[in-house]
Amino acid sequence: MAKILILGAGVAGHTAAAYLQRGLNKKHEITVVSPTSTYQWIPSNIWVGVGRMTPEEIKFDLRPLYKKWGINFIQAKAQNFFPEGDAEIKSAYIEVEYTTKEEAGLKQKIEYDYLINATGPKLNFEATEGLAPGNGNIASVCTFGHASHAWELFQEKLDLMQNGQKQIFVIGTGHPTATCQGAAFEYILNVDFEIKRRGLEKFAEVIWITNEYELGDFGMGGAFIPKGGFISNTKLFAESYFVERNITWIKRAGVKKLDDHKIYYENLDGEYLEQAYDFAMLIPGFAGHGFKAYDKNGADISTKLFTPSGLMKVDADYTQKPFEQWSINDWPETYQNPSYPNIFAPGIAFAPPHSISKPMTSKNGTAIFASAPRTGMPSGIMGKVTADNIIDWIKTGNATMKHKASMGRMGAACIVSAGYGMSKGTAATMTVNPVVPDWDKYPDWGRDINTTMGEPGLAGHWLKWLMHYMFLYKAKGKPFWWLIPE
Amino acid sequence: MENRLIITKYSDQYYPPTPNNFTLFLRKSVLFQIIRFFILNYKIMKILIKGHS
Repeated sequence: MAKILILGAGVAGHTAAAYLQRGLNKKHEITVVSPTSTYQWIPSNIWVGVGRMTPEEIKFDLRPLYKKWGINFIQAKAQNFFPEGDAEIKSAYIEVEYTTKEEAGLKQKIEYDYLINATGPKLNFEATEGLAPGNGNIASVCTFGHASHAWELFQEKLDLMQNGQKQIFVIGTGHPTATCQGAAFEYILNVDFEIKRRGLEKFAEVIWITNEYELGDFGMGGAFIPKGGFISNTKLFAESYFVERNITWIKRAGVKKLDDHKIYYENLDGEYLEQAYDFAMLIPGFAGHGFKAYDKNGADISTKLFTPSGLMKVDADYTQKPFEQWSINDWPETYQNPSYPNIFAPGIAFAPPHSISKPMTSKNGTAIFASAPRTGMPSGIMGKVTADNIIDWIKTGNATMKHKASMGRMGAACIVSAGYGMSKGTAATMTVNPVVPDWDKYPDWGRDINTTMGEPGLAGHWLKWLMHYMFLYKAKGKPFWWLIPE
Repeated sequence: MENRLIITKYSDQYYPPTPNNFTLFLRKSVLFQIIRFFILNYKIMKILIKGHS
């Protein structure tokens, strides 16, 4: 009997749990540890943040499903890793702390043969002074709870505009090296759509603020796409979207601090500037969770498992090298920790070898650029290949690691909602193939130009709407869920 | 959209392309978008299937 422990029940962790229970005999023990018992379909947070969906429509309770699947569920947060055990417990284990009201603070040691660390990112609001959601006029759409609050705040601003009061909406990135520009991009377009739907645009100024060198970078160095007889760039694509809507932008900006009415930022020219706001939704920086790891003698081996950012080391090439020498071969394929091969880290929990966008530094030495994104589709694929490799390992006794999913070889689709409605809605369907540009294979454009695209239109909204229901159906483990791809 | 020259005056917002009426019509045309819906689905499936082994 093998014991498989999964930390985290987000896209990567839950996907891995689903395939493991399907692929393994019931005699094997699967345990999922997560601080919350709720699964949320994060891409739909955008619609919660503008009141088009309720939190209940985008989440569900995992406990009944895991009970049905024979998976142990423990509502707790991981704290310390003991990959060699210790003097008392000879096998590898994780120390967790319960997060339920009844058992808050209670600790438990959970032994494992295989560990999947799919804990995602820590939303590092503390890294930007004053950024925490709920703080004055600051919102977030990172969780369904945050998005619900964002909608409450947005409604207050809509009311003020209805009374003739002008409001400034600033949406974008809230840290000099933040990622997830795509989510903020969706939110600004939806906020703008809802303002115009109510005829309030003359009372609104909508501003995009970003750490991207150019718009459309999205943390993946932008992309070339065929458009209107040209090979164009996502820079023009994103700018065109904003110009069409009278949204202005501030780029190359590293947000340092917010107070109740102003955003303070530094730009790549080293200037310290301010932007007034009445409503701000800025994506925070991401970090690891600050886990500690110890060997069997109790010595701290955290650096063996984690990079300084707190994310987990996997089969990536972490050698420091200049941007010009970066390659897709730097990126991991199996998400396996090199020191402890029975530990995996799919999804946002793994430490990328470097960013995808070129690192930029201001004249004052502040790093201002977009970190590498890892959205739902790649995270789901990583979760699945991790499960497939563990299943093979358990069944054959050999760690063949034949299932691979490198971001330098996989494509990804992102549907950028720009307004909700089955006849009036719109979204940009964006695909990149591969996610990390491969300049050796595609010397002209970095990616396969036949499968990399950006297309705005009503069909995009239908796709996003369909994906919402399809992926929740899959996550709920309904009949034939496994036929739906990640 | 307001007059671009008045609102932007040679700033970044002055230069990007904007869709003409025909492009805007196609983006909203239900018939055209139904066709695009199936094409987009096919393209996404294609990259997804090749994405991992």
